Amino acid sequence: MTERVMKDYEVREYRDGDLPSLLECFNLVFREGNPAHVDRTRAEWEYLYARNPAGRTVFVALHAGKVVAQYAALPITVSVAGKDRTYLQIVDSMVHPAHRRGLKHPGLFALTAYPFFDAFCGKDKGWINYGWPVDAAWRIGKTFLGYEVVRTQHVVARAPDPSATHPPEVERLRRFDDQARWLYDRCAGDWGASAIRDERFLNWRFVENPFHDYLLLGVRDGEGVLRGYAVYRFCNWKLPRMGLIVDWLVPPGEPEVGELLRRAIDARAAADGATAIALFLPEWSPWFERFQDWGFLVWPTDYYMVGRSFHPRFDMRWLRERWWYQLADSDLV
Amino acid sequence: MPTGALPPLTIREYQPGDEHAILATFNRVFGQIDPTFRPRTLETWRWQFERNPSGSRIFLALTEEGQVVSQYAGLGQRVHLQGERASFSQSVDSMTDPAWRLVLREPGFFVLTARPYGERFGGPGPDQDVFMWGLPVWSAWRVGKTYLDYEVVRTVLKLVAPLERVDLSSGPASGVEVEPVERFPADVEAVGAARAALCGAMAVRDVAQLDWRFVERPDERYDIGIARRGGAAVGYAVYRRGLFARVEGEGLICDFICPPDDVGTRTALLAWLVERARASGAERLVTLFPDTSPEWLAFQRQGFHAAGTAYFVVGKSFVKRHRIQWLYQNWFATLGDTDLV
Repeated sequence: MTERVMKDYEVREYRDGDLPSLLECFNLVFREGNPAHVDRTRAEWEYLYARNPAGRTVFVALHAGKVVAQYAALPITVSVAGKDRTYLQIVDSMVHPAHRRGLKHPGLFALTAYPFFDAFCGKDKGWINYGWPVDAAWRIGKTFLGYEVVRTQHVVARAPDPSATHPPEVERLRRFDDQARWLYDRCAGDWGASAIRDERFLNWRFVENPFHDYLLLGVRDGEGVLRGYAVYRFCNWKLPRMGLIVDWLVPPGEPEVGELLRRAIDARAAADGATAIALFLPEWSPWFERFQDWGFLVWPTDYYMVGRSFHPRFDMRWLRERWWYQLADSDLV
Repeated sequence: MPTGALPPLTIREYQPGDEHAILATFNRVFGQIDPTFRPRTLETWRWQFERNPSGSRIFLALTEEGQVVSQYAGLGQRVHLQGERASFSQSVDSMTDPAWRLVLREPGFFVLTARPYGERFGGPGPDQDVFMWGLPVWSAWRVGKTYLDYEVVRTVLKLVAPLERVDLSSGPASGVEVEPVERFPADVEAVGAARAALCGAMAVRDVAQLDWRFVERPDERYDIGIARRGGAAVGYAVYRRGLFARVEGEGLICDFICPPDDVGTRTALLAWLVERARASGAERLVTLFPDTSPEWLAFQRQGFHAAGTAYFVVGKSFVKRHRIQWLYQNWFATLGDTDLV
């Protein structure tokens, strides 16, 4: 594979020691045209890639010993028919501007991706690669890397209810414990595939996250058992000052729990002065209809949710119809 | 174009007289895979392919005896495209006789028929389509993406409202009345042209096209309502009760054109549609709009909810200016643009 990249490049899995030039390249690339970019630090990189409970999947291309391209993913552990599998969210992929034109098609971006696929993707490895690519990455992804559309991505959104008050039954959670997995297991029976919501994943994703602060809201029964939770973040995203439901885990057969959490989110978003509450929901979920009953509308976004399957049984239609994912499964927020 | 070492087949454009062989294969192929299939009559075929004011395109693979082995076909759509006239086509009724699928596995007669079709009819030239699109079944999609460079434009959500949930509380605008008609009046053309001016691409709604689509179709009947203000047409809707997305008896809004910001006219037309649905025994109204159109949100605000379907729109653009993502954002179409209703 290295030969295909030209003899001046070395393409291989990330190694300790690559990080200084990787971060230098990353910050140069993502600073381009984005004055709001905040340089990524070593601690942030280590949180994302070294401490991810599902592992590290990073390939780099080096030129003269320095990282000039990366194809990387954040793996998640997904339950598919009761078995643990790996899906890979492709993120942070890049090519140094000085190395974008040196090669003929397919270019360094794709030539860094191919060995990544060899290393991490397949029937006995990562089954699905997915993401919400920017336009340039999508063009390369569909042309050279076999990516396809899972769905045109919608958000379910509306303005906060200004009259909502925080229900006393809803408590703020500091961390997730082993009850998260119990709750997940009660919800996941209807899903063909879903990232396992256990305390390791949830605390890594929301509590230990160095980028953002999240509000964790939960409802417990009289015996203290977690019956549902919602993770909220107030931020600028598609609109300024949005109140995002980043994760929503409530058994569809317990609408009263969902109602309590919805009221708590409404109250918090109204207090924050949020312009909108928004979340991702698969259209086949009962919550998709329930949120519309609560006055939410289904809005388009400029995202295609795309994927590539490395298992012949699971094509894009299967994923669209069976895979439960939320904003939490993305690095968008 | 003979197919060489393969059984002696000819792949060529449709010629008058082929319709009998097309129908024989069509009715046999689709009768085998669709339990709800009603054999297509020659009258309906002639309506669909010969009398469409926007034309049609057909390529066939034929045996020496004239039997149709494979068809790739499209219904033309004259379109407003960023202020100019152009042509799209909806690919429909594509098929390969199952008995011939094993004769040539990859890429198959379907592809061998589709490729010259695309070369002949796809492009920016006169008598060519700048965009070909369709709503494929999964097996056709696998072929389309692999061999024909089709891409997904959007996955399709429908809009659904039980009749009691349709919000008519704003009331029709003062002076707007909906008049049922048997044929489209001439002044409806201005309604279509005005809507087209608000989007990047939209099929022409002139009297010839609308009458062909909704009045002259031999195997279905549609109700047509024209909204008028001060005597002038300001919008219209087309209704039929029928099967959609595997659900029988749906109250289908087949076409709906009015200024997106004209709540009063939209409400008048929705009130007429609710009345039509009740009269026909339907319990809810169902329709499609692009999720990027203003109608998508406007209908939700009047009681419609989005719901999933198995449909997805795919297409191939033959001009760089109008790539798939541009079409996703800018192309307006309704259920009546498809052959689903």
